[in-house]
Amino acid sequence: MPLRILIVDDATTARIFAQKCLANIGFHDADFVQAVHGRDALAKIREMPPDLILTDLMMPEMDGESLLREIKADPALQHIPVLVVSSAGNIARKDALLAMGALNVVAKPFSTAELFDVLKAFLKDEEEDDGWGE
Amino acid sequence: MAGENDLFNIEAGKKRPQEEILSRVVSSTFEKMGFMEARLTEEEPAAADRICARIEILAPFHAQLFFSAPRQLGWTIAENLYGLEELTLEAVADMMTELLNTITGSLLSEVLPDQQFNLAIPRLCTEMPDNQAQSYVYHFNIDNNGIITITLAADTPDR
Repeated sequence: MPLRILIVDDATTARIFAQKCLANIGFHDADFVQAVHGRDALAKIREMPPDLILTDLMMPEMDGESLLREIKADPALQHIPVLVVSSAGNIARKDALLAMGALNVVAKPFSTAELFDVLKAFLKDEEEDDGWGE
Repeated sequence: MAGENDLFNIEAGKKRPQEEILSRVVSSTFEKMGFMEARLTEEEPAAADRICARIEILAPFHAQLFFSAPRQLGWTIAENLYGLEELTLEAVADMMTELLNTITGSLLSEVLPDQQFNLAIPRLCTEMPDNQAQSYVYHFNIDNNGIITITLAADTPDR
């Protein structure tokens, strides 16, 4: 069964760019789902929990920090790794976001190589667990 | 506490504030997101048929950044990001505002390291700022496909 990856960003460009980068680093067979803000993401997560979430921080309706807080407060969802991807200004919040349970925090603009660096441990775990990516 | 001068500070020997940082940030953003080279240039862009986006810096001070590109170059950059089959006017507009958002975030994080700042949601606009008291204009050649313009403006006029 393919990995399910949820990309949360109000900008279509950012969602498409993130999906392309993820496909390039080995997630090409993943089932990508997109959400335009935190509330939209929560509905999709509760409908079918993803294996990995990439979320922007600054979004209308519900921002990425609130989304992270909701996920980590829910025992049924808190195991899902959440990678925060955001404009560099919010990187000042990196320590706080990591303390809240974010897998990592990456500043925009990021390259495929930078995304690979922060996700290589996750990729390795997935390959070992499921033989995925072979 | 950060002040406007942190962004508008002009280094000795330069005509415009934060020129080197902005140049690095714009190059990096186009290289990573659009797979294109952006080079600071003194060339003047053609005035006609441009699309423009603006973003407001709300804190720790007020300022604006504007980004304009020839319509055709906007479509070329969007093609690089989206692929031809998905390209619409809405996609080009989204690309313009997302690039501006990314450039502004990167610029401020270098000028104001370890400080939080607040940006408004970027939007398309109908015109670039005219000769305001404190505005600075930077042109970048994009892969020899056209010239984009980034304008740094200290005030916040209604547009």
